[in-house]
Amino acid sequence: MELKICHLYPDVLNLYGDRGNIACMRQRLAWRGIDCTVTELPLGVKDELCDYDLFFIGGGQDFEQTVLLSDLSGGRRDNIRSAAEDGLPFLAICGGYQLLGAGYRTADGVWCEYTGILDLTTEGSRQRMIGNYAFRLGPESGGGVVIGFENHGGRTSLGPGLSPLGTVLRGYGNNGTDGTEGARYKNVFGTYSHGPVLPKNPAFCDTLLRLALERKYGSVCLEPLDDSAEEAARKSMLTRLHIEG
Amino acid sequence: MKKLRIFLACLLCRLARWGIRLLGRGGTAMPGTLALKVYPGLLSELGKRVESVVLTGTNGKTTTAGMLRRMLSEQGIAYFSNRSGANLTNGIAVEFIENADLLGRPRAKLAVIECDEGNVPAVMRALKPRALVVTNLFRDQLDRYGEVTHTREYIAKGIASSPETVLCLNADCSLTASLGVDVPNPVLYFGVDGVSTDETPNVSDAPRCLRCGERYAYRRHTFAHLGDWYCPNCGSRRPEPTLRCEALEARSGGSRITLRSPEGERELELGLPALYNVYNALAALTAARAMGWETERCCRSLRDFNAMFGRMESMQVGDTPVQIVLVKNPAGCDRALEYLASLEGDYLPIFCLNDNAPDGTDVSWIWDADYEGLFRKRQYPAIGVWGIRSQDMRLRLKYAGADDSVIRVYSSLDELAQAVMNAGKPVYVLPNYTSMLTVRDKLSALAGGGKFWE
Repeated sequence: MELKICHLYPDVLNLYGDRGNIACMRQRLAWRGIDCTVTELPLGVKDELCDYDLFFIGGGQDFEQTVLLSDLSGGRRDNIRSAAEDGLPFLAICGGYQLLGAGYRTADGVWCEYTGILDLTTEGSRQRMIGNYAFRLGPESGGGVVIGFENHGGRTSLGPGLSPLGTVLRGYGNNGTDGTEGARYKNVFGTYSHGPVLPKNPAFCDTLLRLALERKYGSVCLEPLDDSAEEAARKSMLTRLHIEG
Repeated sequence: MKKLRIFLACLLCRLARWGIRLLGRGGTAMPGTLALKVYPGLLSELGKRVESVVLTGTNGKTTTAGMLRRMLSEQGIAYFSNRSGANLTNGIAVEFIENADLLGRPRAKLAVIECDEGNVPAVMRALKPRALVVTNLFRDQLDRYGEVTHTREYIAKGIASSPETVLCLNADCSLTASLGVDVPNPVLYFGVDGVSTDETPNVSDAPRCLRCGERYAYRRHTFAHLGDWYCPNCGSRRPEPTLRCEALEARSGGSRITLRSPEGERELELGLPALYNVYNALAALTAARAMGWETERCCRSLRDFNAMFGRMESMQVGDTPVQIVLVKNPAGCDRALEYLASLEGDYLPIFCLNDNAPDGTDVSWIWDADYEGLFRKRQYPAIGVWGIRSQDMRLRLKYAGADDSVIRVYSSLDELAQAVMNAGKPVYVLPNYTSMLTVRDKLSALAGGGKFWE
């Protein structure tokens, strides 16, 4: 078996160690003897997206996200939308997650139109939401507890038809008020979680890998791995956040 | 009234420091905060009577400040400086208070001040320094400053409040160099010309033109996003350096630099290895120029300059030779990991990771550093990890290719110290900031050294 991962905009959306998610997926496939290629598609590259099995979009700086908008309007937006509508798995973090929404209103009131793939909008605020945090995945995403680190000025509100990825246990999540975190639409997973999110949440990582493999190969059994290091790292943060494992 | 407030603030600060020392601690933050509460204008009052050079930037400010101190010491010029990494406004205030009598009259008239990037606006506004050195800008402590372009904004804000300060900027760092554009200040740039590496620039910290958003191109590249950059679209490019390294020859434990200045070319011996220290030396020489110090003697001071504490420091603990290399962001960490990977023979690597406020509470940067490079050619029979986030460090190493079963998570500082003493081979410790302070204290006590604030 082989999984082709596409890392979208690694040149501009690459903050906070988010590329650790790629390292995590790659290793968890390798440990199971599954091949994996990772293709980076930076700004300006026009390759089609239909060859890939799983997409990753990281977080970035405000300045760099405006650079992205012109690239998206050059056809990339429709590419991404049709891949998402076809049920391809996406993991989008923070700025990448916001980018999948309808748009972003800056703290000064300027509206930036994004991709509109997810029914959500984000408003900038001057007070950043920063810290270790935790949320419980919705049942359709496995139901487990995810721990990570959030660092965002934007407050995201989901439209009525869009499910959150999970509910906040500690920290802020989408906006610090409604208790939701991230979004789940078809196989698109959007979250504010840095950390990076996957290494300390191996079950979440395996959910993504399984979805991608099953879409390609039909029913797939992922061999269990020795996750004692992952569990130890989880435990130390869960204890600190006063959450029962 | 003002004199009374200066007197009270200085007095309280001294009493508080004296009390803290009595308890055997080395803190400077609290006494400084106390003094500034009593009189918020204190730093500006004391700063008026002193000529300062302020150093900021992500990497290299401590080493560069050390070079400046050495230059001054060797020329017999009286100065004071914030040592021990107390580089926030409160720590800086303490140094000015300690240098003054209770009426605020300074003893030394010259200050070498290291300043945390986020504190540049307050410190520049108060001190109006003669020179400001910005070594470089990389990702560091992102959770504190948000983003690296925000860090740049802090420094720009500081510059705007002090238009007469001479700016000493790294021409090879596009983010840093941009601080010298459209400002009334006099600007001196430094850069490295004689070196080009084959590796593709890892420009992730500053990939795109700050003016137009186009991707930067490079005529030459040194490391990370540093080099002879230009924007193919709008034509903005690396400014001409006033001081430049024309050629570089690596020597055992140091470098030989061909230095080009407006006065001509000269050879220079530097007693520290690695290219990033060439940048630090250039930054120091540029600052010396801005301050009007004598070039010949400053160059000589660099020849036998030794590393700063914890930044690359060697000690003997029992039978074990130990080297401590501070790592606190991906760019600096990659340099340290390359150094480790280049070592022959067996050694015990120990990685320490805390997430206290001075470290930045977000430790995700360890996933941006190339720990994979350690395991490309070898496996280690033993690896140690320690610190508040030791389990995160262990996980990072596992995914980088380490055999998880050889990683030992020390549950206490004593356990770490035991492992060092019983290692039977050299030990290399790579701590981040606050874990370095603790580990260094422990190991240097065993080695018979002094505490860091002494």
